Amino acid sequence: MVSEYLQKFIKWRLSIIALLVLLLTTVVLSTAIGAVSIPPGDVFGIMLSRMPIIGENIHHTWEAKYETIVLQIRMPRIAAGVIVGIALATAGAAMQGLFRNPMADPYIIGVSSGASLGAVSAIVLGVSTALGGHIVPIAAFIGAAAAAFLVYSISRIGGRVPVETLLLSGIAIASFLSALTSLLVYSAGSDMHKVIFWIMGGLWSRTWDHVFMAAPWIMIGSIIIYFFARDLNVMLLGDESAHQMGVSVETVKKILLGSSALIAAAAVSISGIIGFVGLIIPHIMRLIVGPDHRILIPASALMGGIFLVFTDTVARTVIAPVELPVGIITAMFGAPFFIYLLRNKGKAVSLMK
Amino acid sequence: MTVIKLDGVEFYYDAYKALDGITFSAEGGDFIGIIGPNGSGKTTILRNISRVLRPCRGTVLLEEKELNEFSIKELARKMAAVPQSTEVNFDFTCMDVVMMGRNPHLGRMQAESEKDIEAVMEAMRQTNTLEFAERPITRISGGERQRVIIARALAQQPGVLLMDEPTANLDINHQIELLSLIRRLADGGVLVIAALHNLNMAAQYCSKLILIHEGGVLAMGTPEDVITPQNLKLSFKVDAQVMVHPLTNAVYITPIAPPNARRQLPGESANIHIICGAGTGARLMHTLVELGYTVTVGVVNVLDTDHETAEHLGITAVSEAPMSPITDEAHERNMELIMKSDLVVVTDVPFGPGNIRNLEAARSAQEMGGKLIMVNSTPFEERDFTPDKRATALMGELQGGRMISVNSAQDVLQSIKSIFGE
Repeated sequence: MVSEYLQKFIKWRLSIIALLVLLLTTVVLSTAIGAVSIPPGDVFGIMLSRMPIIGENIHHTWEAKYETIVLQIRMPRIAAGVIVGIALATAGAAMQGLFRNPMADPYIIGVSSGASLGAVSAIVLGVSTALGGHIVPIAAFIGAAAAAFLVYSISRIGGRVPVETLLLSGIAIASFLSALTSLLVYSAGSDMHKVIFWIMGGLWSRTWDHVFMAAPWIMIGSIIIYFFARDLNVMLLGDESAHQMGVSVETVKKILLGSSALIAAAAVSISGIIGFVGLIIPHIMRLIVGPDHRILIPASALMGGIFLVFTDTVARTVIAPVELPVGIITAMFGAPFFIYLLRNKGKAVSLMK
Repeated sequence: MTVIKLDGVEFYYDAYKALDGITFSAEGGDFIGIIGPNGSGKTTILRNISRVLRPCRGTVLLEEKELNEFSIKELARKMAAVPQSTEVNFDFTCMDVVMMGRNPHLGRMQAESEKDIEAVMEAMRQTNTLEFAERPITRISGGERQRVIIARALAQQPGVLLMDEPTANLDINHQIELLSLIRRLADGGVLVIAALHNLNMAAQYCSKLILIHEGGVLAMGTPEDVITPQNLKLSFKVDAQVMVHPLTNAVYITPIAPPNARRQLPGESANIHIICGAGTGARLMHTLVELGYTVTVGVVNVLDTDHETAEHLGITAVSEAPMSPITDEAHERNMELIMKSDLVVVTDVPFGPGNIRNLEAARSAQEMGGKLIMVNSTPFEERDFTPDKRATALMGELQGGRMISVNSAQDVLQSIKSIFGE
């Protein structure tokens, strides 16, 4: 039984390697697909050529225009997809663990409604082109962070943050902020389509600037969350029990809420509100790799990236040259697959374990 | 060595005072049962010891140091707790759950080693949970889950084990198994403090009991010292008989249902007087009181079962000193009760010189035209212990007058019901 148990760690490593390979494959293939088809080998070559050390030994065998398409048009968008997917799935896994509720998602503490209000304010006030066009993501980020902080402050009772209160004040604040957003949209008139596009969520015309704005927050936040993976496991047995098993429950809660809000806010600021990823990816991965957060969080993160890049590729190619908001695709792909997994839970688990 | 010491611990939930100066100390090897009615503060005491709650006044010392001096992980290595409710919503295997007990022994990113796995397996062996180690915790029964959670606490390898009603969801066999296990752990030097609701189990397994009443310690000491009818009456508001069980040599209690738990039959207003003794009237008293009749009894000797039953049921009874013949005074009061009654029942009590006046009282009742039922399940001659056979003579007189003679307790009820038109 001892060796059986230790085998678990080997399985975990293998799953992570498999997911990394899948992520790389998805990224390369997605970059290859588009109005101009680029051979995947060339995409891979271009990517490698930009790596330090390895890059110097790569022969440039591809057309020069490919390099521009790959590096300046497709890659930023795909990189944004990867980091937003990672952020939403990681925050979703953390929230589901923290709330001990599989229906929780990254937006549960008001992040999405706060971000919407921030972004919509910037659009409606007509300042969306200020600061080199970065004012909308910044406003969204501020709105998201402020909403999460507000929800947290309301729920705080004598140094403790009961998850039930957090959940309810999250719903209340979200409704309130959504009402304000609706009010703005209603009075906006001409900018309506911009607002709706932003709220639906999408990754079009994302640049490296956007990626570099959001990536540091997402990286730091996700690593912090992963650091507290075992505490999340223990906290599933209840706050009081976790305390008695040596977890500083209230501190861990604050750190996890803060980190989740941070990465969700960073993601939303560059992608708008993409639903379903944060809810469904941790769910799917829990069915596949099990509920232990030490594997669930990294596996969800990678799968989140894979899923969002995949769905975004579908969104931009399925009725090209028209692009669909990726949020529509995530739900259209995610929901049926999720239902399939729920119905075949036993099989799926035994297949992958 | 004193491991846990509580000194004047007070705790408030907002303005409600839940603990009022709890003071006690406990050593390794003790198995301490905290008993007391629901809401008396048992769980609150445990939560104050485990630092989930902090006393508003007073101190809790662990190994002679304040709890605050320990880091949370240090504390979890020294002390483990089993909560009352053990619901888990996520599909962890039972072994994974027990492994969580190793948390205080592991660094932040440290993976479990063979040592941890062995500690977990030992804990599961002790609690008989190894057989479902690989099953998801969501798919085992409540009792099995309880044992897994206990294994999880044992995996912490604590010196102090706090348990909140650990036997609550268990079948009797698992209760016994678990309490025996706790006892073994205590014998091995662990201090176990458990809130228990089964008083008989607590008395049998605990080395020491603490009876909590309204947030304070009502009694503390060995089970024999703590479980007394007086203490039970004070704290649980129940009447109970406490005896030493001949097989276990432990005290055990038999609760006696309080009178107000009985059905009230307001329509019944008939008064029935029972002449009895030597326990012959006890059952009839119970039955009649339950049916709602107003019952009186006379004359019975103190210490007689019939006397104790009457007292317990709150029945008005004329009593006489133990082993003493009926005095004029007692006889007179007996006659008063008979005159107030609508019916007199004479049970098949043996008659001797001591209680022959009871039969005379029945004769007087008959003469005054009262209704009379006599139970004769044992032939009268065998029950006559008067030297001059005076009882048999009186019986003859009684049989000459108006009366109903019945042969069994069943028939008594039948007759009573027909008399009072039911």
